[in-house]
Amino acid sequence: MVTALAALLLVVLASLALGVRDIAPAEVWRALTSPVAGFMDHDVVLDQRLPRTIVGLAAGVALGTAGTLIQGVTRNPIADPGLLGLNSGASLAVVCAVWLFGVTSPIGYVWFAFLGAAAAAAIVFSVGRGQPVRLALVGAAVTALITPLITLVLLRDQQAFNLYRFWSVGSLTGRGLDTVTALWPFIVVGVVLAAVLSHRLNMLALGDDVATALGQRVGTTRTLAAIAIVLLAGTATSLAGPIALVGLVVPHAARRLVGTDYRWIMGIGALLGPVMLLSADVLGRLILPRSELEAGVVAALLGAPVLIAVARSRNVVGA
Amino acid sequence: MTNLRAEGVSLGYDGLRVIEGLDLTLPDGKITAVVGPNACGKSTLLRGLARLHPLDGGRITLDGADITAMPRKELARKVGMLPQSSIAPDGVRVAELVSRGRYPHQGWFGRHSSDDDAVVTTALESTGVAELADRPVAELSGGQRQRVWIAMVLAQQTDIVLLDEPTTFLDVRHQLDLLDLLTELNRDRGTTVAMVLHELNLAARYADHLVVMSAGRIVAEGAPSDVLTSEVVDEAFGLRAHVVPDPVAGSPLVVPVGRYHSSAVEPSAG
Repeated sequence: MVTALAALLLVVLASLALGVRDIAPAEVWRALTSPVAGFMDHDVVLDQRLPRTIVGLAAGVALGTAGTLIQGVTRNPIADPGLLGLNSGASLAVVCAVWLFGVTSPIGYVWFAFLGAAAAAAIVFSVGRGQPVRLALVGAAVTALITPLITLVLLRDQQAFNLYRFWSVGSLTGRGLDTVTALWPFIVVGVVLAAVLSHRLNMLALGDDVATALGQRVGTTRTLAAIAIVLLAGTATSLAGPIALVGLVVPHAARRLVGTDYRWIMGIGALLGPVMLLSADVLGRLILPRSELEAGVVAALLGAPVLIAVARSRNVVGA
Repeated sequence: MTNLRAEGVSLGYDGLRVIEGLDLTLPDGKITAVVGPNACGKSTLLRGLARLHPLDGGRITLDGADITAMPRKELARKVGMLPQSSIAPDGVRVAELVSRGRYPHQGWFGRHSSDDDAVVTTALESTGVAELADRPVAELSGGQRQRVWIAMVLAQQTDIVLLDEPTTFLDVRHQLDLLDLLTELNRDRGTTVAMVLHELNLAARYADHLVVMSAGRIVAEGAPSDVLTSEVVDEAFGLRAHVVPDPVAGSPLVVPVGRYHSSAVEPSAG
């Protein structure tokens, strides 16, 4: 827990201090404590690095928690929010918002992304009826159904195509703090629900029958978890676009660190989510000279080898 | 003392009736074994008794109170159940798995009290797995693993323990080992035990009360020596068999007759 907190503090500092523009740490500190209006270094820190750090923190906590919840509730170690069709639902809603209503500002399409994610998850959960394998199948079917619809809209609408190209990569930049201001209550509710559910996931891990025999109402656990997952993953996707692999890799890393008790896995997962997302964002600023790689791209590049390493190691710690 | 009873119970899957209007009372403080051919509904009955399977009709009562009207956690403090479908999460250690049996006694975040620790320690000791407490469950043998699951159910501290085929996948020595353990729990703690068993002769030896089922109904029930006759075996299993006294325990011993290798006398009709 202490290590995870220290790691989080470190990446937050790195996210504020590092970037394409060289700014001395002391100047970063002055920008935060006594900013001088119009001074370029201070403006970069306050208007660009601070908002993207906050967006990264919010989206990272949401992704780490949602990923842990979904792996716990489905007992599926390769489940992630994308499994429920959340990302495709959000993507379709965003391109439709641009195509039909000409929405182009982040604060405008954030709500469409959220509703799209919720609608997709509602379909998947109601048809999948909480059974892990059926959920995965329905999620894949919904995604397969939605993907060509997205393509169809993109082919018809140039503006939607341009915006989607940028949004779908998954990025922390270009989102004002107003999106976080609008959506943070969803994250708080989702995280509180996840904390309440974490001990129930410990029983659910023993099988539905054992959990029921121990006195748990398994259906209630699944429904509450579904609500929390939609709130968290829907918000994260709205804030930062469909970011792959953070929700998938973080729970594995958390289990490696703290074992099989979901009360610990959930807490560590909530901290490692922003660690991974912000690390990806900071690395993306430093990899290319004078330009940036999107956080979503770097997260995938970082996450895939980690996942392969997890799969190759002999004692995989499953969900 | 608590009394679990099924009254006119019907159970089924997706409209297909498996059990129709069945009555059964688990004798208090005794060991009950339920036997019967595959798909006769014995596991379904046990799941119904533990409220793991919804009733299509009738009711199940605990000391006269309908169990469906009871909060699940309250039921879980009185009736423990070890289903066949239990999963040990990868990497989980013995003591941690057993301590999850305390769930019905805990609040929503599962704070551990010193009381919980004492109960878990006792459960580990009485099932003989105390020295394995820090071992990952996945590294244990089948017999040890089943003891750990029983310890988890014991940590639940219920007066009634239901077990669905607890000896399946165990070799004969470990089957006896497990049934001896259940006998000790029954004798030392007065726990009412009811289990579904496949092995007729072990059921006849270890049970105080034997329930023979076939096609969703009870063919015969009572003391094994009264119940287990060659007629009953034939009626329930469609199997010709000799029933002779078990040379070790004196309980009925079923010696089945197949189509080959019958050199001795035919089993008598009586």
